[in-house]
Amino acid sequence: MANKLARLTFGLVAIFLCGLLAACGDNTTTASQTTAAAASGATTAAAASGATTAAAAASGQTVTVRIGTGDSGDGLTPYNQTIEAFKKANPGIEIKVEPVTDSDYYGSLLTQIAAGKAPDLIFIGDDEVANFVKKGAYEDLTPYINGTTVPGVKLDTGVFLPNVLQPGQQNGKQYLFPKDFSPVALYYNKALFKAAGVAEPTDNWTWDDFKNAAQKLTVKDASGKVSQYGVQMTAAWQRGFEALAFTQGATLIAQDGSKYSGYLDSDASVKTLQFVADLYRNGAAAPPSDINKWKGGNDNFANGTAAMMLDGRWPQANLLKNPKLADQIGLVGLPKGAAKANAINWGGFGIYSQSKNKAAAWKVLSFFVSPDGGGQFFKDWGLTPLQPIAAKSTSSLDKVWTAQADYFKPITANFTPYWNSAGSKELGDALTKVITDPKADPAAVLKDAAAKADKALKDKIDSSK
Amino acid sequence: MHKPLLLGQAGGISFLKLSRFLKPGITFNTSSRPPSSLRRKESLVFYLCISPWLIGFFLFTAGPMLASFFLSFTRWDYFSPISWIGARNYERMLDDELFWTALRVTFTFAAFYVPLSQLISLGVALLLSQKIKGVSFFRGIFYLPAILSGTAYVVLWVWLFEPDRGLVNNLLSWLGIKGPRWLSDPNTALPALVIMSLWGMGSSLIIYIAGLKNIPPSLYEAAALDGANSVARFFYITIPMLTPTIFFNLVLVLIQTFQSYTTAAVATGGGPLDSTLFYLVYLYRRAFQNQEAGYASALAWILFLIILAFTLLVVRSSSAWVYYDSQRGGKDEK
Repeated sequence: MANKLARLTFGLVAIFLCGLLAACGDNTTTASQTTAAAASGATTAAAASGATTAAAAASGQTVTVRIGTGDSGDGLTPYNQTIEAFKKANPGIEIKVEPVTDSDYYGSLLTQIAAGKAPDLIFIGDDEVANFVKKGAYEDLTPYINGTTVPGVKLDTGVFLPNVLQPGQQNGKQYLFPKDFSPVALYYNKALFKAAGVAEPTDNWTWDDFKNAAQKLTVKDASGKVSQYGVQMTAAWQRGFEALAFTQGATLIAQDGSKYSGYLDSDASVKTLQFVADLYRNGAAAPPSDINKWKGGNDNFANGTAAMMLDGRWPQANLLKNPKLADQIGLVGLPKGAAKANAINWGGFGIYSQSKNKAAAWKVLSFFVSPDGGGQFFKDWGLTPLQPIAAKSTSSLDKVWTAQADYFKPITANFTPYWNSAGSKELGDALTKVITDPKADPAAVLKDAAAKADKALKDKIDSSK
Repeated sequence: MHKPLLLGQAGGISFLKLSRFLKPGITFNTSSRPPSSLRRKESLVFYLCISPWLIGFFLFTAGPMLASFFLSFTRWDYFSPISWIGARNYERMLDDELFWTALRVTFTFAAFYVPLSQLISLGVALLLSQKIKGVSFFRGIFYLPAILSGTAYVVLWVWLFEPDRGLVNNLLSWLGIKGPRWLSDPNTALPALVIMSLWGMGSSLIIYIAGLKNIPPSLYEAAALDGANSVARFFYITIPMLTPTIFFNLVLVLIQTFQSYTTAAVATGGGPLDSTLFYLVYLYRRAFQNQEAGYASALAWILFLIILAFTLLVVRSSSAWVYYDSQRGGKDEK
């Protein structure tokens, strides 16, 4: 029955594209027109609404600041802790967190924006920043930082680690501030290295060192079946590939966001894809358990059947809970290609451009991302972007993660608002192609991907004219 | 994964009923006398009783349909104002490779799933209509998947199809077959979704069982007396008597198949390499990932027209192969 209902819902939503669109359609024109207007005159609007909230606070009224986030379940703990700490110092401001499970988050956010009823503070990932900013959903926070827009409420940007503010910027303006971030790095299993007699990785490893070790650490049983893989790679995950490509000196898109050809299919990109393909094809990399899943859905490193793993910081907490692995895990930065480099994974908060409580929202935001506020609580749930908090960490692994911030290069999604509609899919397909088809030629595959991405990009640009 | 839509079901039933009503000889009361107060009262009660449905229909079906029809001629990204662009969304489809891919995938899926699901559910329904001990237990078992939640159902199958440790490949390896990488391989992902979906044929099954039960035993007895063996009885009694049920199931399954979403959305997201890009998965991607509400609305209307065309095709063809006992009876009476 539940299934029938679900299908009924999908059926209705789908055939007639939806109550959603229609319901939003009715009151959208005005809401979005104001969005555009507000985007151009953001500062004045901000000042005005700042005055309103200040007046409201002075008269003893309570202002409620809504926070929209894709975090849910246990991930809300640091929010609640931060809110409790905030309320002690700011009695006039209530905070309401509106969590949406990850997969539906953007969809529900878009309908809220369409209806002009989005939360005051909106959390998004690095991949949508350029898009949301281009469409005027976010307030330019640059004038807020030094305390001019909301008198007395400043934000010290000097406390952030290098390069972690950059994903929240567009055209030199700061729109969002980071909640947490993660580089990509190389985990390794010390016991398996020891058993194979291979020297443990160092921060100065080259791609060749990495490849040789991966091959030496691949173990086959008598029947020729692989019982231990050298490495668990990142399958069709675009950012994982991008991080590797950066170490080879590649950038995947023109800096003005105009085209992929000549970048996505450059020699350095091809070399990176060839490297990835070789690892899968010679059996040193564990085949993806499910290519459609993020990073391939493998758990070889966690269950001891892969000696190394390329990944972000996300699995670290669970790996450390595993008694067989806990004291065997080592971590180094990405092996060097042409240079030392890395790619960031990032999520942050900004203020909704149509918010009626911008001053209060800024108070909350600046508290959430500061070392004395949210920083103390969020550090246990993700990698802190705050230097003073990171400095206090006693985790040797986290020191390695933090050190990677020095090597970040701006990700592709920074240069185009259309990454999720044009580019991301084509790169993912290119990776899928070389991983699932051993005969696919990386150079040809990337050339095709770049051409297709350019076509999609052109379609996107033309259709938004 | 293709359980009848409640809406479709209602539509289907009313269609069958209508077709019985609208035959010559039976006319509705069209008297021109002024309605009595009883009749007025009756129509008032009628509209009161039906109003929740009417309101629901206009608010949640007809309204959104009109809105999406309007949106299909506009550009709207949820942020900026809606702007009228005429038929450009429809023109764009011609040059949209993924639109054609999605159509191809959906038609291929339908070409395999629709006949297979009907053949298998009819076959199983025949087995489950035998008078043997414990048959209701088996009916329960076969119907069970139909009431599982769509997502849970698909997640379960994703596990079964896991290439290295999944049950499917383990069973195959006992037979000495090295199983494919199923959902990770562009060549086997769509067949895997067909297999996955066939498991949920319980709804067709239950309707077939009901249809089989409706066949008067006297026909079989008469045929047996005339010396018809079981094969003859199946082809000359069971199948003809079951054609209204087959017709009903076919229309429903056809509509649902074109609207398949959950299987691909949960299991593969349309991948790998668009090999399972169901039309609705693509539509959702355009609407919410690419933020193109106008284009997605146009896609929805094209799908609506396709489904309408196929449904009409089946309905038109029905006079040639669907047998209604009541119609036959009606003629005999005259």
